[in-house]
Amino acid sequence: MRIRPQTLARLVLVPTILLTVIGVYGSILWTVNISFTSSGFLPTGKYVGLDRYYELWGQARWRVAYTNLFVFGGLYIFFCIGAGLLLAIALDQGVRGRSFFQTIFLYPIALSFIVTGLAWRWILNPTTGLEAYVRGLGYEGFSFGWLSDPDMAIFTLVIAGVWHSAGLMMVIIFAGLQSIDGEIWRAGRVDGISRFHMYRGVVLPMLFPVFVTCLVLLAMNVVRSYDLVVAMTGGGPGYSTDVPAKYIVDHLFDRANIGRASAGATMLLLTVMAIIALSTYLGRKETRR
Amino acid sequence: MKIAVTRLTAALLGSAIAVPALAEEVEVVHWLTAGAESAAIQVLVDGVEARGTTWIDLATPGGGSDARALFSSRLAGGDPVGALFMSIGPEAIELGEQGVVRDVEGFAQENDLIASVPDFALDIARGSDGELFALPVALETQNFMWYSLPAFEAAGIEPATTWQGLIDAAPALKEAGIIPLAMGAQGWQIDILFTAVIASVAGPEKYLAIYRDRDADAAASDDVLEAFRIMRALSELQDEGSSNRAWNDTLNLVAQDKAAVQVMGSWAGAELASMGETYGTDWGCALAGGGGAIVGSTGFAFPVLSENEGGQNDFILTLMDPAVQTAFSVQKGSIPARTDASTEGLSECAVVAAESVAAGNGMPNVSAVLNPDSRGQINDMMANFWSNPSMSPEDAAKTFASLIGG
Repeated sequence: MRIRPQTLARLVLVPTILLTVIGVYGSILWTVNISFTSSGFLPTGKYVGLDRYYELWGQARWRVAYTNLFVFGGLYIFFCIGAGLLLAIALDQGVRGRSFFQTIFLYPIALSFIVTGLAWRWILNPTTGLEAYVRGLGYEGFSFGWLSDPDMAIFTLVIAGVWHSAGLMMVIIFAGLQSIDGEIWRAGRVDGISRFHMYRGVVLPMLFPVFVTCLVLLAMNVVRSYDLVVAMTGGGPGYSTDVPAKYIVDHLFDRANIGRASAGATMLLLTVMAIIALSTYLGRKETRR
Repeated sequence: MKIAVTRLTAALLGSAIAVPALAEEVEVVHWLTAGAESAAIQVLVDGVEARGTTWIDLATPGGGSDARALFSSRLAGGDPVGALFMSIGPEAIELGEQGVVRDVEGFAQENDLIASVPDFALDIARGSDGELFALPVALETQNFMWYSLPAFEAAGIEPATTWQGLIDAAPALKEAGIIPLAMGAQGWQIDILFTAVIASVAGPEKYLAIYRDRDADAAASDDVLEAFRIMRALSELQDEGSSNRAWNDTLNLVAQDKAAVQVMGSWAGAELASMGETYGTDWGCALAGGGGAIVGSTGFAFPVLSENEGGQNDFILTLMDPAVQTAFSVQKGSIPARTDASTEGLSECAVVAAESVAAGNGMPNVSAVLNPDSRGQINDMMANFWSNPSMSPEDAAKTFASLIGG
């Protein structure tokens, strides 16, 4: 008896499929299941319905963390793509020393978020960083204490995050710009369309799939934004810069409350699923047009 | 020939299995691996081996969570370890109620091991029927005030060791360019400061009523409000760079005489000494705000074993030997759990704490008496209060009372 190639291929894939089903989807189901129980330090089988979710949303800290996901995420994605786009266009216009700038702007991505967070914590710390430096230059009245201001600290995370990721966006968008056929530019010139309008009306819409890629890459960074927060603000001052991932990890390990941690993780999953559904829908609509 | 080889293998295997069953041994899971800590563990190792039991070291340098993982997997595999190092508290009771660790009450009474251990240090390891699920070896004081003598000298005033004294001294200190209170505004550090304040304002009895008995009246009392008022005043004494600052960076400010006072546990004293600073000329210590000592109780829990119980018993006898406890604490910078143990060789600050505990003014730390979830919620609230001047002490006290009472 001979095994058909397709059958063999399927057989080979079985372990991978099993691992994924058990390791990924199994774990997700287990987490969702735990979120309906009264589990504390250890999992229990006692179901309490939606109690864990009521508890979760009753907590000021979770609401701050969940809001921060959108505040940080929105600003981070917007400024990363914005800065990346401007840099890419500048490169595309043939700035002098292109590879030099490319290297400089791409460099931060080689650093982990932990290192980024630590470095920016030192830079923005009022007593050791920028503020102390400018004051040292003689501008005594200079003040930049965002890091220790509960209302502004979340924006320091955006600064550090954009610094870290904008370079990668630049490279991806630049690659997209380079792939635009020179004929299109020539046609535009013949019709006397300005460069600005060419970018806005023709080139950038053609790059729509590239922007979707950027969005997905950045959105993943937002959802798992844990290391940057821990290294830079520790969620503080107070809990003003907390994010869901940090809330979940704190409750899973330190607070011995895996029930509520699982409820938080499930909320995070639902949020991500909603965003993916929305972006898939928009993407389909775009390609159909 | 083949049979002979098989027999030989079997014989070798047989002997390899038989050996451990003959000699007594004890497997100890702990994470005391840093310099001074490992010297302290060595005291226990020597004591156990002197009793003829082999010490099998299962150190997890990764810390408590690794130790717990090792402990659980050995337990699940049906081969529990002999002893588990821990900060004594609800975890010990949870393990005990699950029937995983031994009730050592009987054995300890028989050998007169716990008569001089303060009640609160035993209560935090007792199950609902009075069983004793863990034994303490040392107490770590967490509410010391570490102050820089040159900093106070520069301001021309005497070191302040009360809260009001520190608040009153602040203008003079600021005048001299010194930060009155060195603070690392991380949740756990704020928690250490707050419990120090509440312990000194309310005293040991009310402290236990609030945190252990969760007495709603005690939590809503004027003392608690006063503690929050002091916290608000103290929050104005920190410098701008306090946000998310590690405790040792913060301590460095005191060591360099840039800041006057830090409230931190006994481990800070060891750090100051290792920085080459001299007690009495560079720095001093006092129990924060003149309160009693808040201590974390560290010790071991003893899994139920089917064999090698003799080794475990030898370990317990060593652990609760007063001379061993003193030697352990001399190395670790803590104080012995037995109040009848000698305080000779302990640091000046440790002696202060030991006297406070011996006089009945000791208190368990919050993590030993309050479940992690309530503690976490109080921590979050405190961290918010500390960094957010718009939150009034009255509001904070009200929220605190509802978290404790509810």
